[in-house]
Amino acid sequence: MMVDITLEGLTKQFGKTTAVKDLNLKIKEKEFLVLLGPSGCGKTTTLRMIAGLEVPTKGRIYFADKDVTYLHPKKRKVAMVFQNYALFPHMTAYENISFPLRIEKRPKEEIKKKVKEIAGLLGIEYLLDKKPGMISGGEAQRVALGRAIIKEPEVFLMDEPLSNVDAKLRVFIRGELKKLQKDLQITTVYVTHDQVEAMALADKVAVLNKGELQQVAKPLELYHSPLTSFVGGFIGTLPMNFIECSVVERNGKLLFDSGYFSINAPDMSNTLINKITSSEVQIGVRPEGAVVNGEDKGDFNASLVSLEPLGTETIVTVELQGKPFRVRASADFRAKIGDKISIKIDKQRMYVFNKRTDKRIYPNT
Amino acid sequence: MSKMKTIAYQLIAISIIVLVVFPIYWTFITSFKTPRAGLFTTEFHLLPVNLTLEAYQAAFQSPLFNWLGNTLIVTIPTIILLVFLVTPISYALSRYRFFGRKSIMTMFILVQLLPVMIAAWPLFFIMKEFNLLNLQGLALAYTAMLMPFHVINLKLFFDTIPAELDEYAFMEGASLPRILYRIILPLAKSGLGVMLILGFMGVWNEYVLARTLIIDSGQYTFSVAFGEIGAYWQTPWPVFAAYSVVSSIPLLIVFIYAQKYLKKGLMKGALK
Repeated sequence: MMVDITLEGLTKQFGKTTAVKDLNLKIKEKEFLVLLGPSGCGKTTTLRMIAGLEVPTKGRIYFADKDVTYLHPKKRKVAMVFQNYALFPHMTAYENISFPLRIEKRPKEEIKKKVKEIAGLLGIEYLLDKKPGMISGGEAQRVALGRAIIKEPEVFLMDEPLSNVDAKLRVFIRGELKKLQKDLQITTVYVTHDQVEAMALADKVAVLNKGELQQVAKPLELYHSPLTSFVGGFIGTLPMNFIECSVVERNGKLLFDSGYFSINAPDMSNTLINKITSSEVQIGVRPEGAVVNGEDKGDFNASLVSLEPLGTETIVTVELQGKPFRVRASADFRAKIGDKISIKIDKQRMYVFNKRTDKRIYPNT
Repeated sequence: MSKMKTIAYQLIAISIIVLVVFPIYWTFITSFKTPRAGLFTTEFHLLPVNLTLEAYQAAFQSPLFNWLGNTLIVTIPTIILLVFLVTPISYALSRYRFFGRKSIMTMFILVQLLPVMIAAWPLFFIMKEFNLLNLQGLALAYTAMLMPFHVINLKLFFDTIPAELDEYAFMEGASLPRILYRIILPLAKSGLGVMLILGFMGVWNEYVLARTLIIDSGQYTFSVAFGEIGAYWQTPWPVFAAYSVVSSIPLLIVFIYAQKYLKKGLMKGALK
């Protein structure tokens, strides 16, 4: 039986610090949800509350319709994979994988059969007799997964399980993990601080910052339609560029003035214009949302700080408002450090955020 | 110059070794002399002449094995009590944050600075009141005496074991005793090795409490008997030396056995 998970007004305080603040989240059955955010954003605390390792200060947790807020972890039918795998070093892989069943005192024959089956599924039959100290990180990862799968949980909880695997293997295991989750169809909550991992794995990503939920969305929606400047800046291999602007009116037209240059505000409905109550905004531009040395005259000129030729493209970094401003350019782009570069912002792919609240104003939400 | 330095260092090292090892060697060869010979004979031989086992024969005729047996009767329950009491205390101090945690640890460190004489007489009266004088009371007293050090020591070993292991076992529904004695304790084997060696040595060498709490001379531990031999009985030096040699054999055995865990623990670390 698969379950959906509902977090209702979940709050956790440690002394005076609030780790998680009034979190409301619904995770559908069979869904792969990734909790994403920088360290200290409350994602691990949230996972530990779902697991039953922490008791919430306020709020409720439901599995299907059942209130599990204060239920012993054992009775929640969850399986957790820890960051350091938490394999018992004094037990062999076989003993580790069979641990959940041995605790339940299942018959030996049944245990043996199930371990074999799981080991076959994960391709680890050859290391069943080895202890964790003798196997590689990737293998330990599989043993930890096997130990989680064998108890046929209703929910998978994973706390940065790939952070100890080296970079090349990580991409490989990531793919396997996603396939495994789809095959087993187990509701999964996965914690990571790596946005690439989140985008690659998730059906849905919940972005957290400072204990507060910023946005829950499908990976691409998160990328193309960030609700806050935090999400915009956090998602994407290259961060979104932000330009601090004040809003001014000239000849009946709204302009964003950065101090160096001004650009026309996009056509906005009146309701939107009314929303720009504060005169300070942040313009968000993705590195692919601007072009270098276009045919037209650019929006602004700035001096080149660095060039990163990556083969398929070149990352051009100029300095604007004392901060780096990155643009993706074609691979044959040539210039010298210090050159003045003309940059044009694609108005269709520009975001406007309220500087005070961080919320997106344009495109209309 | 540097060669001279090396030689100088080696000379210093060798003289230190000689200084430490020589008394042991002296005791050892003396134990094979004839009991009529003195410890400081007029003619001193670095290598023993006229080896005999007479001193050992004399020693075995005394209640030597009784005394050693009594010492074991105190040692074994002391070690067992230590393991079962220290483990949960160390675990609590390592894993839980509770009111008074730091004060308790400070207290455990500070009480080790007090001489055992401070507690000797009060302990005597307490044991007398509860009818626990002689070996049983001594085992209890030793457990209390050794506990503070081993609590702190084992806690440090537990600190190196990631809490994720306990959390995982807890999530799977393992009971606390199971987590403690089947998962955490086996991972702190080197900590247990330390407890075994130091506990054994502590009990084997202790004199003040044993002298105070044992009132029945039939229950004398070796250390008390050894003192008596030296003080009252006219024991020739070679016999005295034979006592010393025999009494160190059990300690050696324990050391060789427990050292395996010590080495393992030191080399591998409980976890990577």
